[in-house]
Amino acid sequence: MADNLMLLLKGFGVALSPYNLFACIVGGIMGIIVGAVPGIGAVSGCALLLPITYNMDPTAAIIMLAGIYYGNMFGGAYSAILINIPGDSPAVVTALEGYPLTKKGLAGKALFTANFASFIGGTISIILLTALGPFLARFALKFGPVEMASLIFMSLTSIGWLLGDDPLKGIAATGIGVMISTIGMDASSANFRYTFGSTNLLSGISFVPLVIGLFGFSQVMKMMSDDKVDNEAVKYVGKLRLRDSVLSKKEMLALLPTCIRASLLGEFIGFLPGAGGTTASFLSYMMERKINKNRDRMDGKQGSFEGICASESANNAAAGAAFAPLLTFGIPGSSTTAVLLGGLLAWGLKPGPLLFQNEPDFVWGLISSMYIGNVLCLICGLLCIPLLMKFLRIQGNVMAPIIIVICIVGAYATNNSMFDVWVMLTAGVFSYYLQKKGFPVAPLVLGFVLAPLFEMKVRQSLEISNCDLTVFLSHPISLFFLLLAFVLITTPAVLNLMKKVKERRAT
Amino acid sequence: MTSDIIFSLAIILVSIIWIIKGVFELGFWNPGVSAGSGFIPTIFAAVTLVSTVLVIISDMKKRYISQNEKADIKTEVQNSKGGAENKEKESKLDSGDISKCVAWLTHLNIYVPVLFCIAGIISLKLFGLVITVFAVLTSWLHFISRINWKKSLLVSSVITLVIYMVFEFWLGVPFPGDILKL
Repeated sequence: MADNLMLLLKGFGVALSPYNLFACIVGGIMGIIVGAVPGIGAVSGCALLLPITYNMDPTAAIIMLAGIYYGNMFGGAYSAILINIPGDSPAVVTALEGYPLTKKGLAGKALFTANFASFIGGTISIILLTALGPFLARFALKFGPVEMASLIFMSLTSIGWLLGDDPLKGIAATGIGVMISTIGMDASSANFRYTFGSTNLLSGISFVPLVIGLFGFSQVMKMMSDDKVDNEAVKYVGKLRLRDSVLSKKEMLALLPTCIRASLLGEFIGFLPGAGGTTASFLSYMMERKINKNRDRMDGKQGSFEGICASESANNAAAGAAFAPLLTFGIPGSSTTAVLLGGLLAWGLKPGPLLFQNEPDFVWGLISSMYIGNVLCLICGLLCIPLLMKFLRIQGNVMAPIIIVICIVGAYATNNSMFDVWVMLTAGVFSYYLQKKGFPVAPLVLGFVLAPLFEMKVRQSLEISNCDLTVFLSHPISLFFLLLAFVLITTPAVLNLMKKVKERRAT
Repeated sequence: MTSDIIFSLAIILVSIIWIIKGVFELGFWNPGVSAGSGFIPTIFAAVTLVSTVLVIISDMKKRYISQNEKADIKTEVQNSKGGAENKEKESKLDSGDISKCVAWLTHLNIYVPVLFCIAGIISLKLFGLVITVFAVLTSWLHFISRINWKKSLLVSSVITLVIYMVFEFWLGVPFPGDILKL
């Protein structure tokens, strides 16, 4: 630990050199912008900017790309909160809880909360990465396919909070999400499924166009159907000052436990290979829906600061944590870190346990820069609030065509594919009717996000065990998650039964 | 209510297709080897199917109850003449018909963004980013939002410039535009 601190201090010396500091600032600002623009996301942002870093010093290059990555996690919340279009997939939950706050005229505070939670998540993540990175990465490696499958199964069964007024419709929506995710090539057997002869469907349905349609385009249709083309938030927006958006000390202290819990969970999820920020934010939100004292407000309709904290702290913590398996084992924890791995290899660096010994300046310079970058992103984010609040002054009748244009351009930019724009449009129309008929959209998104990983892990587990289903019970960690899932499924029914018995006794 | 059932039936139909394809084409279970490609899709399609059937049953129940309530009000109105209470009830029934008519008209409104989006997609393919964004924004602002030409053109120009700078100039997204690309 003391050694780590010494190395960290040395790392600060590297990170604070003018060149590296400049790379950190540029990366952070670019990340915030890329994150706030729907359809681009951290992966595309890093991939697009990777070539320009080839001529840079490797330390400065990775510092800049890392800045884009965690800056993206900050920026993704802005469009989610202001116009209900998540900038990137980890911000879906933020849109669910943040946009209703904007409609209530609390956009400034929601943006501040997002920045505050992102900062806490990022800071906790980097501290843990400094102190326990190599140890936690080793523990995460104990999570094989069996444990991962059970963990995701538990997540899928604990979606009661997302189901809305009618649990049956929530379950149906989850199923629809899973069904959509199975379109395209089966990763395990390379079979093509449910493509119905369309070449466009061979690679499946992309997440970003789907989400842009589900949340963004359907919103314009809803505005037209309600004849509410005037933006409700406009009425409430008063002075555009930063101090009006700042949370009080009491409010921040009240939100802090949520941020810490979400950060710790996000940190752990970030260590798991393939899980990433989206899974972290969903799991953290689900956890808070179960345990938070203000869980009644976290229904995706009223909007809650706790919900924003759960999502933002978790996805920022996961972003930081994903560097542990990347640096210590060369295993990317998310698709963005996979791009970064490509960069590391291109710069002639070999990630693995020896990287810490052979390239201490590089590793600790990067970790130190993350502390600096996190603070810089917070400052940039806070300074942006008055500017972002001005966005709300745009009337709804002007906002509607802007959202349509952003939906079209954002969906196209995801894969440079016109088919994705049609996917967005179809998803938007489908989402509009889905909501009109009382089906919640959030479980559909959750099913879509978790299903591919769940399927892969289930099938890997069955292959390992020669199709023996008891394999899920024979692994202790897996058994723990399955028992937890059982408790989560049965608890509402048991509580309901107890309530009925009590009522009967009373009468 | 009928549209609710049609919507649920569509979900059921898709679930059935998923199950049939999952079991008979993709393979559900390969004993001793692994689960087939259709294993997870079939299970979740079955869950969707069952829950949607239950949704329809519950909707039908609600429909039956509301129809009975309406029938009761009508009989009450027919049996007794005059009185403010009855007039109120009658107006309730009438307002139901009017609201249906209004709902039908506003229902057409929701297709305006869909039409604009389709036009935008076609235009993007033909004319590229700048013309498409500018045209979609200007036409919506002037014809739908009823904003005067001067303001519409000004707002459209600013937004088009921002979108062009971010997506095409900075991020280098290769937008199409086969006929005329700007």
